[in-house]
Amino acid sequence: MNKEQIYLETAIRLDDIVKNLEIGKHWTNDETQIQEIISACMEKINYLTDDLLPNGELLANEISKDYQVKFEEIRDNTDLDLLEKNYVKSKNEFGFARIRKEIQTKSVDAWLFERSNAESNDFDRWVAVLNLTETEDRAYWNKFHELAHRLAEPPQKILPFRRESITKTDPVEKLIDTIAGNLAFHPKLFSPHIKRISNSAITFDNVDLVRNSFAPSASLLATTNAVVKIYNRPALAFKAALNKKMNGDANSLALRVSPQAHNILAREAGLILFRNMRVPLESCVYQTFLTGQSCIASENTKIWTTSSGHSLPNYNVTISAIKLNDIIYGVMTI
Amino acid sequence: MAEKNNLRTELGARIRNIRKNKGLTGRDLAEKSKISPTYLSEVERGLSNISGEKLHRIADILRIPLQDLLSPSTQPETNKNVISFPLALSEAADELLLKFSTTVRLFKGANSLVARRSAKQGQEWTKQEWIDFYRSVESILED
Repeated sequence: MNKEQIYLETAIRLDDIVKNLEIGKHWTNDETQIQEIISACMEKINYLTDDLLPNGELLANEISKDYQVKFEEIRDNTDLDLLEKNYVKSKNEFGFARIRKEIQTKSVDAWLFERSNAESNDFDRWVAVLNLTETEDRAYWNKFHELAHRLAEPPQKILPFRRESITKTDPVEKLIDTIAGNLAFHPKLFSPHIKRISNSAITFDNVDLVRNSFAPSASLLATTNAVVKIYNRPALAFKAALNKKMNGDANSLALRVSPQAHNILAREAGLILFRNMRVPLESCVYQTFLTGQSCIASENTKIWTTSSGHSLPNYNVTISAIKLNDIIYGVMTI
Repeated sequence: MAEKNNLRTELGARIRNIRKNKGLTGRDLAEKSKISPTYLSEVERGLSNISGEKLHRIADILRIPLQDLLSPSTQPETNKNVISFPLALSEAADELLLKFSTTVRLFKGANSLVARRSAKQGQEWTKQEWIDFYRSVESILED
């Protein structure tokens, strides 16, 4: 498929999502329409949350039952053997035989099958196979991503061109990720867990408590971002790693920031980190980078400056930082 | 006229069967589809026509492709389309001396993979990859 075909397919699919959700006729790519799309998808599953315990994994199960998606998880050869036995041999679904070779490339997160021998009301008409051989981190997220596809796109229009490989920069995928983020941490189910920690600043210990009670299979990073977004105090989340300046200056290697999430209260307070901003040497974040020890500290944001001399507004904040695989994860709360 | 009535009755029966299989009452489906229960009952008994828009809403609530309501077959629409094989598959089929029906089954099986989420763009299969795929499912295909 050439670039023009991909562009056309993407435009058609975005329009189809808008029409399917009865929001309008065309994709406009503005924030208002994106919010309408999210609301329409949430509306479709709201009735499932009425009597549900506040647990993200239960919500995924309910939506997948209702939308005929079955999830399969592959961690090792035993799982792969079982998958082939259940689908290739028992159900004559030859497509599943493709996975054994493809899983060796290690670059595929998930495969989605529409079973060729399924009845229209089979509970496993769609089967999403998640590749967990390298990490479990994206399992929870990927489930909601596939479910968001089913909620947003008309059933008869799902992937009409059978475009097999979808990169994460595809505009449809970005929209689906946004929907998935809202579904995965559904406010009605997620908020009760936040209330338990809302008397203090956000720390990774608190985030871990929330994660374990709401959705143990969610990644720490995804949970952190979700907590930040709905927290009742100005808060933001960031990653930091050794990086050069954006102009590539070889002498500019330093611990630099990649903003991950902030809430409306932080934006209103002007508490926003800039991409590639240096982490101050005096900050506990830097100490975590040097020692690998997690930290929780009170600091003043004035020490966070850019190379052009700007500094963050003067706030006393609580910072929590941890180091995982040479990357620092941080949260700041006023 | 009689044929039209038959189609209406078949459509209504299909809606009713699928609704019941999904554990929905007529009132549930009517409410969610934004139509009156009386009207839905008439549609299910083949006594009333239904517009495409309302049918679309019913299909959406039943979580099935519209085509499954319109067609008595349970196979997805894509299976009924004219098949155009990739060149690499045709070459592989020639080399393996595959029957046409086997090649169709192989192609449909491979195409049940509708999406692959990856950091890298996938490439179309080569002749050798089609041959390898055939070898991996050969024993089942030839049953």
